[in-house]
Amino acid sequence: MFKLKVPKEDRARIRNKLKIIDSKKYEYVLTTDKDAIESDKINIVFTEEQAEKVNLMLNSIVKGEDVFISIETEYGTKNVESRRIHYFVIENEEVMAVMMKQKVLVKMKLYELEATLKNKYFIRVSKYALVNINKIDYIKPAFNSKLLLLMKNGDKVEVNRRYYKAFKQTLNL
Amino acid sequence: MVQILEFFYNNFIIIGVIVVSVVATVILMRTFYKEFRFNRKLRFKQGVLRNFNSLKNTRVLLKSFYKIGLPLLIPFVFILAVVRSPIIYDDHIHYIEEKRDLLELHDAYHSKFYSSTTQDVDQIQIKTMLEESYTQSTKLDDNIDFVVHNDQYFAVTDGENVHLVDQDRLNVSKKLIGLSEGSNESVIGLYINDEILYVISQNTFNHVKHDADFFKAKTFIRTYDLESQSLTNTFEFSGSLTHIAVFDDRFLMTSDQPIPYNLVETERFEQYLPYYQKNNQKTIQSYDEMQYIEGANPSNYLTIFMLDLNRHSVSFTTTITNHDSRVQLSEEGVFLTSKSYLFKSASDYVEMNNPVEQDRDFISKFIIKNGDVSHFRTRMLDGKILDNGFIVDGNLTLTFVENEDGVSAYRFSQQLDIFHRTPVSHLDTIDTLHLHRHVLYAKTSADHVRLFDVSRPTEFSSFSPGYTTVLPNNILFNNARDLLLSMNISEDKIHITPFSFENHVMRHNDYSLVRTSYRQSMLSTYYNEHNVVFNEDQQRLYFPVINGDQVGDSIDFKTKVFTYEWDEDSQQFTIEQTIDLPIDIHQAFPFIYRNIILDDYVIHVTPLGIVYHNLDIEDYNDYRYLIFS
Repeated sequence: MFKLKVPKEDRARIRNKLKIIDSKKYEYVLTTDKDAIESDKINIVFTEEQAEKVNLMLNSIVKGEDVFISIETEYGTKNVESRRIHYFVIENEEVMAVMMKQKVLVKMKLYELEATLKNKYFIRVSKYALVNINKIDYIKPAFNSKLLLLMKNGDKVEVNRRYYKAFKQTLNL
Repeated sequence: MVQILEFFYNNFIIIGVIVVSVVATVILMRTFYKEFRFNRKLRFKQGVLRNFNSLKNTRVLLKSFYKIGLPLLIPFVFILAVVRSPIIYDDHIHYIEEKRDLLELHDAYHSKFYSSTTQDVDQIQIKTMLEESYTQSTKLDDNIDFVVHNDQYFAVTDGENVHLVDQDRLNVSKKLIGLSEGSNESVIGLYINDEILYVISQNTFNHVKHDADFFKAKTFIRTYDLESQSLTNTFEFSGSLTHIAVFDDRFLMTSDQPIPYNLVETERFEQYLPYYQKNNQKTIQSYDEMQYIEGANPSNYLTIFMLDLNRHSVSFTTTITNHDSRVQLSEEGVFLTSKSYLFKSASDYVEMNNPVEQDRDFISKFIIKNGDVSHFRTRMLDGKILDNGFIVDGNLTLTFVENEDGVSAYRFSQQLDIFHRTPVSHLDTIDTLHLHRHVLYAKTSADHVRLFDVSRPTEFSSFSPGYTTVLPNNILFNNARDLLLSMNISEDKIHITPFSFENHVMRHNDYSLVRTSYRQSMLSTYYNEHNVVFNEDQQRLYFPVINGDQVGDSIDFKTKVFTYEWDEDSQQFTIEQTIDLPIDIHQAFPFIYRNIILDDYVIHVTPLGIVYHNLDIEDYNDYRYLIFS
C-alpha cells in the first residue's frame, strides 16, 4: 500500500515512527525528499518532525478506504465496516458474516462480496468461505496440502486445496 | 562387508528406531518450516495492512521446540533405556611401547603404596609370587591326558616316558620318548589328533638355587608323526603353564611369567620376555605388542598362546597384569578376570594413607580372529567377583559380583555387554558352579545348592524351593541322559554318587561304593577322579584301588580293578567282576589308571604296562599283559 523513500540512514527510525511496512505493490509514496515523488502515485512529502501526524493520517487512509457491508439484524439492515468482519461463510445456502461473537445474515452472494472486497484484505479460501486476513490469528498446515486458519475469535476455517495456491500468492503480496 | 551386515543384524532394533525417528523428524521439520513461513508472511501482510496487534510470533517459536525436539528425544531415550549402563571398553587397555614404559608403570603403581597402610596383597615379594606360580598345577583339558588313543594307536606316559602301542599288536610297545635321568623336564599330558601325537612337557625345578631359575620356566609341545613314529616339530613356550585346552583344532594355553624387576639393571631383564620357539626359530614378544590393564598390578606377563594344529603355527599375545589372575578357556576365547584399582586422582602427586578409590574386578576377553589371538574387550565391574563365581559354558557367560549393595549376577553377551544384572540374596560364597541344561547349580560353602534358571539370556531367577541338597565336587561323568557321577573321598571310603535330574532338582543316591584299607589322608594323595573310568556304551564303571597282599613279612601292593554295571531301574551300580592287575604294572606314585575299550578288548592301562582281555565279563581273568620297558 505504502512505499517509504527516505535517506538510508534515516529509514529505520522514520519507518518506526510511521509504523509502516513497505510493499511491492503500492499506491502511496511517503518521502522527505520532494525530488523523490512518483508522478503516477499519491505522494506525501513530509519532514521527520511531522512523522507523528503523518502516522495518524495513514491510519485514516486505511480506514477511509474501508468498504461497508449491509447486514441483517433483528433491528433491521445495518452497515458494518468490512474490517470488523472475521469471515463470510455460506450456511444453509445463505451468506453469513462472522464477527467477534456474532453471526449475521448478509444479503449478498459470496462471489459479489469477493468482487467487492477483492482489493481489500479479504481472501477466498474455499467455495464456502471468504476470510479477513487481519483476523487470522495463526496458520496451521495440514499433511494433505490443506491449511487450517485459526481465527481471532477462536473459529477454525479450512483453506481448500483448490484455493491453496491463491492463498499463498496473496500472502506473498 | 560381512561385518557391516553383522552390525546391522545385531543392532536392527536400534537402527530401526533411529531411522524412523529421523524420518519423523524430517517430516515434522518440513511441516514446521512451512508453518513458520506461512505465519511470518501473514504477520508481514497484516503489518502492511497496518494491523499491528498481530505482530507477534512467539507461538511459532514455542512450537518449534516440541516439533524438533520431541522426535529427536525418542531415539535418545530409547538408546538410554536399552543401553542401561554405557561402558567404555578400550579405555581400560593401554599399550606400552618400550621397556621404559613398563618400568614407569611399575613405579607409578608401587609409588602409590609407599605411605599406605592398606593391606595390599599385591605388595608381595617376587619370590613368593614365583613360588605360587610353580606350585599351582596346570589345568588340563579333558582331551589332554596321560593316556590317549586314536583308531590305530594308543600312547601312555608316566611323566618321564611315552610309550606307543599299536592296537593290532598289543603285545609290543615302542618307547617314543625317554627322558634321561636328571632331566628337568616332565611330561604333563598327551593329545592325539589324526596321525599326530602331541607331547606336552614342562621343565621343573626341584631345588631353588636362585630366583632367576624360575624365570626360565618353559613348556614344550613336541609333535610326532605316528606313521613314521618320528619327531616332526618342537615348540617351546615361555612361562609357567597354567591352562591348556583344545578347541577347534587349536591348542589354547596361558602362561604366567613374573616380571623380573629385580634384574632391571641387568641385560637379563630382556632375556625373560615372553616368547615361543618353533624348532630353532624364536619369536620374542616385543614391548609394543603388550597390553596393560588399567589399575592392575603390573607384576606378571600373562601370555596366551594359540597353536594351530593344522598349520602348526603359533600366535600369542601378552598382557601385563596381576600375578594371580584367573583364566577360563572356552570355545569363544580366553577370559581373564582379576583386580583393578581405581586410584584417587591425588595419589598421582602425593603419598596417601589410602590411595585406593575403588577396589574392583575386571573381565577381559581374548578372541581368535583370522588365525590370531588378540584382546577383544575389557570390562570393569562395580565390585569384586566372588571366588569360583565365574562360569563360561556354551552360551552362558555369567559372574557373581559382590559390592556394598550385596551380590548380583551379571550375564554377558558375546560382546561382553551386560544382558542383565540381577541381585541375588543370601549368596555370599560359592564353592562350585555347575551348568546342566538351563539350570545353574551354585554350591555354597554351607553345603547348600542354589538353583538358577538361565534359560533366557535377559532373565535370571531362582527356582523354588531354590535349592537341592548336594552338588558333586569331582564330576566323573556327565551326559545328556541326565546321569551324573561324582566321586568323593571320606575316611576309608570312596563314594561314587550317581545324580539324577528330576525336573530341575538334582537328586542323588547316597551310595558308598568301595571301602579300602587306607585312611582318607593316604587315599587323597594318590587318588583322583580321573582314575575312575565310566564307559557309557557298556554302562560299566572301572574302579581301581590299591590292594595289599601279605607275603611273608612284607606286603605286596597291586592294583585291583572293580567292575560295576549301572542298573537303570534301581539307579545303582552292581558289582560284576574284579581283576587283580599284575604286580609288575602297579605304580602307586603317581597312581594312574585308564581304561580303553577297543573292539572286543578291554585294555587296562597304567604307566608301566597294559592288561587286556575279552569284553565278556566271564573272560576278565583270562588276560594277557604287556610291560613297557
